[in-house]
Amino acid sequence: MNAHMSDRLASDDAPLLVAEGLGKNYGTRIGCRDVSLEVFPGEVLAVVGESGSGKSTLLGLLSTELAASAGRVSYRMRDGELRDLAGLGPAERRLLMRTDWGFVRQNPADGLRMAVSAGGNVGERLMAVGWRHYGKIREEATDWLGRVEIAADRIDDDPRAFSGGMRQRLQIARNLVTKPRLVFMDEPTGGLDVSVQARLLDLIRSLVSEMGLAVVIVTHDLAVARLLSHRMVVMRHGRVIETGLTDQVLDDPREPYTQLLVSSVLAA
Amino acid sequence: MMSEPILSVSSVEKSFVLHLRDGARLPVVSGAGFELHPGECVALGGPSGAGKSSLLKMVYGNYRIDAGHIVVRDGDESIDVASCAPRRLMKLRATTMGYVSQFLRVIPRVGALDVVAEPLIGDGIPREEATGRAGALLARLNLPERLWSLPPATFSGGEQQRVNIARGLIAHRPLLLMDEPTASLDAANRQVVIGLIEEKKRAGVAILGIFHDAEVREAVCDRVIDVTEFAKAA
Repeated sequence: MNAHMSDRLASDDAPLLVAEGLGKNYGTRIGCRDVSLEVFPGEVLAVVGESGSGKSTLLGLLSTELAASAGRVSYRMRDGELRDLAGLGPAERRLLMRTDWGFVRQNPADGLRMAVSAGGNVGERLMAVGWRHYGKIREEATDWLGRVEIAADRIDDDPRAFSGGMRQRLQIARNLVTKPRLVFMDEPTGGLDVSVQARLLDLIRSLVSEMGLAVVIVTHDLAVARLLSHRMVVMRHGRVIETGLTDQVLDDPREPYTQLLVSSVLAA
Repeated sequence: MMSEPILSVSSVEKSFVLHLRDGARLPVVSGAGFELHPGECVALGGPSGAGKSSLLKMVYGNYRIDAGHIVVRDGDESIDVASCAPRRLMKLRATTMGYVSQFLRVIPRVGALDVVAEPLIGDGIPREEATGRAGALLARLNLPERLWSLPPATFSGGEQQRVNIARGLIAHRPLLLMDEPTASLDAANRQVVIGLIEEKKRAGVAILGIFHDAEVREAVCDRVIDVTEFAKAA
């Protein structure tokens, strides 16, 4: 599904993101424990499991939005050096999030500025990485609205006037405009109508493959994982219980819980 | 045959454990072993339920195995599908091992021409050339040009299968796995597929497949592996 996948797989054998023994406790309750995984450039990793399985906690830990109770997360910076993210200063971390990373949230209102125009939502990220020329920012924003199939004449409308599907597409444009290397997605198609979901999935799928993005996507929807991801981790009670290529896990699930998950959907 | 095998299957064992059925164990194959050489086409034979499709899926790495080795030659390297890292298997599939499934997995909103061209684009061939070759192959498989830009979801079974075959055969992969590639095709299109398979063989491609259609099997297959031999022991 990826352009030049073979080249990318051959040349990029160094992981982009590495989690080792990652854990998080909420008081006495365990959010997630002893999770180790790697994400490689250009690869889509799906994290699946039911509500409460710890998948969103894991995403929070990987993206350093949550502080880990145990373990660590390292990231390969653009200079090729793998760095422990806990060792970054606040300014370095902010810069990383604005330039190298994206985060697409389930509820677009959490990822967009709802009182700012569509063009402003996209342009803001460009300004954060140093773009100053208004005309160029607007031109780039218009181009990105087009890429996520939002008509150019909506550029000055704010997202409150947009449908759920449009808001989600705008959130994707806002995240991808700075050409990040790694994007976190938390149930990006949750709560949308099926027809709207299909359009969004196709859009995510083609942008991810064109841009060669690495993605960690949390979803409870196995069909979404099937369509978008190369590899999969299955979580239960805060632990990773099964991993493998997406088609292996879905077509030949080994763990009782994974078999239950797969057999509970109509067609994945 | 004197050439080195491209695929060596040895002592493969597989059963499904159905945890939702009180851990019932469903044996599939045991002691499965055979070799495949470049340029030959080999059929997996045996009645329904003997494990032919499962064996094909094990070779592709889609089903995991309990014991044994499935070694695919990838250039100078030998890769054991049963034990290699998932990313190595992805690379093997992207370059060396192709799979023509029985049914097309439809992707919403992607037109037939792009579905077929995708493996070439993955190989790094420019989009224009890739879609050109995709069109030529679809024309050869008698898929009307007015359908090319449409997503195949609404196509007939035979039309979808032809899109699927075109997608599976368009790029060069030294090892091809085919699961009933002609099941829903008419006589004319079966002949086209026979021609395509013969071309692959002449190009040195090794093919392992399930061919229920006797006409196709006799036309393209050099030998048959009886899967019931592996099921007996299981």
